[in-house]
Amino acid sequence: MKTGPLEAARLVMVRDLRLAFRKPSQLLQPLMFFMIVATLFPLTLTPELSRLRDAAPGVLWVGALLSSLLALEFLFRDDAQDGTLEQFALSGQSLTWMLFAKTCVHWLLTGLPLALSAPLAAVGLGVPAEAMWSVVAALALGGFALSLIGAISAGLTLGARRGGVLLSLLTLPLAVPILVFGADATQRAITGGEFAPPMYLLGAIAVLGVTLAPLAAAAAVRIGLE
Amino acid sequence: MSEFFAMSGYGRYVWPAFGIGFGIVVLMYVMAVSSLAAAKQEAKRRLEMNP
Amino acid sequence: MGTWTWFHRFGSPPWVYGFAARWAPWFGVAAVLCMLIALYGGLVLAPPDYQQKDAFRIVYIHAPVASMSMAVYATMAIAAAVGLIWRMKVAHAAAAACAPIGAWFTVATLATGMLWGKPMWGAYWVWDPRLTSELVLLFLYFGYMGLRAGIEDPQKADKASAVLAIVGAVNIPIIKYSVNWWNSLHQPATRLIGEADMDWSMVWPLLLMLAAFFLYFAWILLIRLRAELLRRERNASWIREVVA
Repeated sequence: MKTGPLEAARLVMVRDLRLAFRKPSQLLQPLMFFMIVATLFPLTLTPELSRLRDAAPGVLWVGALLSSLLALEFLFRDDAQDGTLEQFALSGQSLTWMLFAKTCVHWLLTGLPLALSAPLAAVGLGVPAEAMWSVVAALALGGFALSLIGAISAGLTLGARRGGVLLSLLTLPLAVPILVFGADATQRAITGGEFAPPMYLLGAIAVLGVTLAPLAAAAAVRIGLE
Repeated sequence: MSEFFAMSGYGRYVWPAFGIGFGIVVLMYVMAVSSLAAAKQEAKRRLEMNP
Repeated sequence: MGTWTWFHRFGSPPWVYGFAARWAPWFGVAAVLCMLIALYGGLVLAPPDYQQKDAFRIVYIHAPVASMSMAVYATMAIAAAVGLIWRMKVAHAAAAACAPIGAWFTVATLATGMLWGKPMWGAYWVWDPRLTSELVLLFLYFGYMGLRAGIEDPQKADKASAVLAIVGAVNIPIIKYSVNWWNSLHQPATRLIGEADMDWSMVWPLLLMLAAFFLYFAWILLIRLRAELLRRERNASWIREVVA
């Protein structure tokens, strides 16, 4: 029986999901971090909801970016240390597809839950209820793009000492467009402006990321494994 | 002459800009040359240690 | 066949080392000459701008270093790609030599841009799209150098940083577009250079200064490349001949 690249990707997804649900605390930590960051802003800026509403897109997106960076460290690290990635690379299957699967799982376990729990933080920042679906949609799409970009830097830092800070240093400048369009989409959702244009751009980045990022991540992981 | 240095009142911005710009130009040259000198020194030392 | 022997020569570290040693001084002389003439043209011969008066003269340093900060990144990414595709050691060395040069050009761009911004905008820093993109570019250089420094195995560092340079090069147009988008939402476009109506007596020093900085970049790159090659090829036999 011959296993195609899609089947291999599916198997990787199932494996990663199963492994992740064995350690649920690790799944919750980025979410808690996000909530704490969102709480710090009212405490440091102002408790007035009308003023917090202006800052809400920035708070939500910077918070989401920082917590996804935290989770990014675990994207490849454990699998690189116990030799799983090496097995992947030697398996004869497409490493690109397998890493794409891993990245999708990473988004399912961090980006998506974060987007879904964002309304909790958003309420505290004075975001009106009718904007919530748009806030969730923007964070979910942007989070996917962030995971894809992050996969490249996570792959690149596999061979590095002190990977954590370096990972952020590489990812943050590359994430600027996602942050700009995402925060703009959220801003428009809050003020009732035209929501679609920045979402299209965010979608375009995600599509570009889907086509190129797994290739770059696979190249990066191969270099790290050599 | 002092009119030239005054730059119609903008001298305090124009001259520092050129100062920093060409300061960095000189600095990059100095750093490049010293890095080459250091690399040569290092290569020489290695050659003397194991001829 | 001619082009291929040329290409192969550039793959040979001792040949490139010799080439760099021979040509660097010429680039240096040409760069310094052009800089001096352009400086005279820009600071003395060019008439003051009717709006910005003499403050516009900052363009003669700001615009060239700004162009170089981008051009050096492009050079670095191309060198990195060549190194990755054809496994060319010299190309990786050139990419490594580019990074600090580009970072310094970016610092110079930010500093001169701030000094220009103060008289024009009334503040050293406003979130102008061009300055903001330069700031992100500086962070990209930091990331590249950080990754290089973070990986101990030099060959791994070469390849990993090459991938990063290419990813960054793909990203730079998107970053520029996003920053322009962001800026257009929050403030009207700002005019830094008298783009519209520059007299030829103002333009030629600018073009000459630009050429001077390209020559200067070539000069510094060749010096740095020699240093890189000496460090990387420390066990090669040709080192003995060039150092002795």
